[in-house]
Amino acid sequence: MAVVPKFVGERIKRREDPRLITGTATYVDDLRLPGMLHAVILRSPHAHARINAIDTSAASKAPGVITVLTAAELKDKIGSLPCVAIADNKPFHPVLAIDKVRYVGEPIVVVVATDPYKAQDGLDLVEVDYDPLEAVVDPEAALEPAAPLIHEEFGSNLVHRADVSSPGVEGAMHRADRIIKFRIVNQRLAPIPIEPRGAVAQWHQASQQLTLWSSTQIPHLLRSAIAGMLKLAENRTRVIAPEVGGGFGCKLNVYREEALTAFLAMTLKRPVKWIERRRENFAGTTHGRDQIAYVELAVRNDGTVLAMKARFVCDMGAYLHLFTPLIPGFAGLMMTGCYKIPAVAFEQVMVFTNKMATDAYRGAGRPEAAFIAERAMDLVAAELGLDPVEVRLKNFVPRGEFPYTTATGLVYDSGDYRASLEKALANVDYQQVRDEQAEARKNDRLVGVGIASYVEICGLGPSSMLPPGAQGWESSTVRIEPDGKVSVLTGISPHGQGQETTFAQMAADAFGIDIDDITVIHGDTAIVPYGVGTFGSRGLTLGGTAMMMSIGKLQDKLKKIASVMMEMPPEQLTFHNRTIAPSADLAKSVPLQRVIAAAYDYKNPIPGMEPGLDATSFFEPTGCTFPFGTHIAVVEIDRETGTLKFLRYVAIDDCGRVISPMLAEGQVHGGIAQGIAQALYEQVVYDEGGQLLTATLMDYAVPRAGMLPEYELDRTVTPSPLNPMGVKGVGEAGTIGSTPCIVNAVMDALAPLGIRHLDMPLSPEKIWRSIRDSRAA
Amino acid sequence: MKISGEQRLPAPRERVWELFNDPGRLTRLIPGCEKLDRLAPDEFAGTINVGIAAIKGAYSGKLKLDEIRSPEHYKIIVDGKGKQGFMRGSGTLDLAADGPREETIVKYSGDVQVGGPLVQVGQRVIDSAAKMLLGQFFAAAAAELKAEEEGTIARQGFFINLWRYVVQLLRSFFSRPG
Repeated sequence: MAVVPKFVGERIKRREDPRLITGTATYVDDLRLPGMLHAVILRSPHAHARINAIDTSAASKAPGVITVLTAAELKDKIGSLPCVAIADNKPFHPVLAIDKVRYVGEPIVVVVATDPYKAQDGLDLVEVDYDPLEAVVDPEAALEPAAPLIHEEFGSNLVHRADVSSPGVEGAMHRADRIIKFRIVNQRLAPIPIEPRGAVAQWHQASQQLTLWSSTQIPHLLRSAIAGMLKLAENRTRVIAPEVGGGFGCKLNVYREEALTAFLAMTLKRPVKWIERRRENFAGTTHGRDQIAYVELAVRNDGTVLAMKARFVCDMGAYLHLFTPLIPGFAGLMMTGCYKIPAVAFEQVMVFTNKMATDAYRGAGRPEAAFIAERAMDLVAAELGLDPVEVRLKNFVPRGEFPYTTATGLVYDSGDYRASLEKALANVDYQQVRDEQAEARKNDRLVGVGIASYVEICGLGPSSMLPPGAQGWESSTVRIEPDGKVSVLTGISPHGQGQETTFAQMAADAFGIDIDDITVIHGDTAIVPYGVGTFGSRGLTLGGTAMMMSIGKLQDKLKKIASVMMEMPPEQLTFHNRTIAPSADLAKSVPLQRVIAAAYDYKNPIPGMEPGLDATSFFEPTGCTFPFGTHIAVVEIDRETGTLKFLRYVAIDDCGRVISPMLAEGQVHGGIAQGIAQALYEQVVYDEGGQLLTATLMDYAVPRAGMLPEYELDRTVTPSPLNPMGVKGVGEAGTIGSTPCIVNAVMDALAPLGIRHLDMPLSPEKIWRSIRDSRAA
Repeated sequence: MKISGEQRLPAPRERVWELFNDPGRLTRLIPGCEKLDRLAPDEFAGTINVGIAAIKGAYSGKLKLDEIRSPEHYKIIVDGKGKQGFMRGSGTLDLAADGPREETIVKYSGDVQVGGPLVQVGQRVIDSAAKMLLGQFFAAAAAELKAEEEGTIARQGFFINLWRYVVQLLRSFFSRPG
């Protein structure tokens, strides 16, 4: 008799929420330590300038100011910020600017005082004498021989050049009926977590240990980096990620302020706090996207795509953060999307500019790729006069061909792209939507239907596919305490994803106990085993699998003890309703608590078995998972104002097996919102002198609820063969499908006016101008 | 930020030129100007208080005059900074005598780079703020020249010049041809 899961697959309310909605959670800024000092940072107003002199004398004497530091005082004391991605030209990345500033917002001076206001007053007295230099903001201009050099030592602004190509591209280009060329821009975006970054550091003089609290997605990687930069032993460095209010990739990093706060606490022997302000967050926290792609498709007249070629120019900003030059690679590797395109070649040129560094932002390379693939399908359809559905069906990787190896060498684990598209078409009632569109067009209304079928890459691994210093595995310790309660310690570091709920669901079912018997502990390097962290939709896929491995070890041990008690082979036992019972007869059970007590009390030793109930596992995946889906949007554009109205938004997402439907939907909701934001609203803008023009939430258009559609969500379930739960990951799916879906819908609406492509964000002004220009033409 | 425009002042060109070379009087006419000292015949140093949106603060800097052709033309090079940002750039000023009433047409144009928090917070309003400050300055200059003509002394100050500027705007609006 099979035991029916009680929690997995159910709509369980998030166990994190009571503390969040009652304001009792502890974020970094909530920490108050005795004797704590406050640091504020002077940032460059120039995009590119030589620092002639810094006068800190008045600031040092200001009331309450404890210390004022510049790069001069830190020489040889703090190492470079790490970048684990491969790049030919990696500059030293200091915590405070040395001799030169290279972007607006670059830290130059830190002032520490007894309260944050005194620190700011002290900061206002610092005088910096700059010699402004010409700034370069456009990545293509930065490659010109005459461009000003951002890092003189490299002789150019090139970070790295990568070439990937499969055989047969040139042949396919010759054989094709036509070549379709287009230029695609994925604009620069700001991740905007509601909680900006922040750090508190404390030095324990007696034990010679450092504790650093940081709003981070990666406590262990941060610990290794900080220990390396400050020459500390990792077993004397403890990083704690307390409550973290969102990250979206920008906290998957190691920042100057984290190292600086730690250094200050060590040297001043007092706790130090630094809290980022919103304007600092816009200027000094990593941005996302910022790529230009020149794409060529070799196409047959029936819509078959024979080959795809692209040249990317990728804006890295002024320095390389942890993964900066790694992100564009995903855009290239994934740019063929769900399509069986046998020949692919791409070249990526990564460039320094006088801007903040780019790095991971929700989707990290896959939204860029999906945008290319899905615009490609629509441009092929438009060019050949075919329905975009037909072009997609013609090119999909067929359902029988998984695992499917792409021309770029990735192995798609499982998928059924046709089923996803067909379900989306049925849910939106495609024929009716098209009929209504035809009717609307007769009345001169601009109604558009947009389709995007995406595939993305999650749970990155095995480790061998990642650059040195980046890992693909994840860890977990599961401990059954003597009272029968279960502690799940995980190496991932949730910051909104809700694994305190999903992991508890799985653990409770595995041991046949209640969800309230489980506590999920994360984010403290002194408590949980070394882990990699939360990003790339890896929490459940890798962290969850590691937990299930540890649970499996404890299940085996408990069954072994029970089998001695019950005189029955362990294979015949199962966990049910706080007992261990024979699968065949659940009534003949022993209480689970008796078995747990036997493991701890250990009065009747079992040969070859240690006491206690504690298991640690590290899960190294054999490959990545590839979630997929289809989104369809119907929109209407107002001819007179260029404003957009959402008529429908249907999304089908396939993330394999779903543990917690409510949390999966929540991820899709938020993802779609951020993807639509890229399509319609958001863009980080620097002027030609490198000044950041979008530095407040008044200027950077994060959408409000009223700027988003009503979502009609559904799913297909195609389990992944790569982990025992069959899960794939869902953290970024919505972001990846929604951007091309909305852009395709807008372009479909504008198609009768002869408008082929517009760059994002599709603001009313941009749409209105294109309508006006089409009238003039 | 690019600035250009044209203003008519009710005085002969020589008197306008004199005014535009007199730091004492300019201090009173430039909105928010706290001081303006002549360091050399063609060089001034000064402090100005500017508030745009939430970004208020004092800026100090240098003005250098170049290409001086009395009484019709000079070039100004500006380099100023404050806690909330910096302003750098240059512009030209051309004075042309006009008409039988001996008035002067002042043509100005400039390209100023503004940076730091000032532009991060204020960029949406910075162009109109600059226009308004210039408008106030010319309203003040017109009042000053007119009062001198009449042998009196014009009242100067932020609010009165703002008022003069608004009146002038309304007048130009209603006297628009068509």
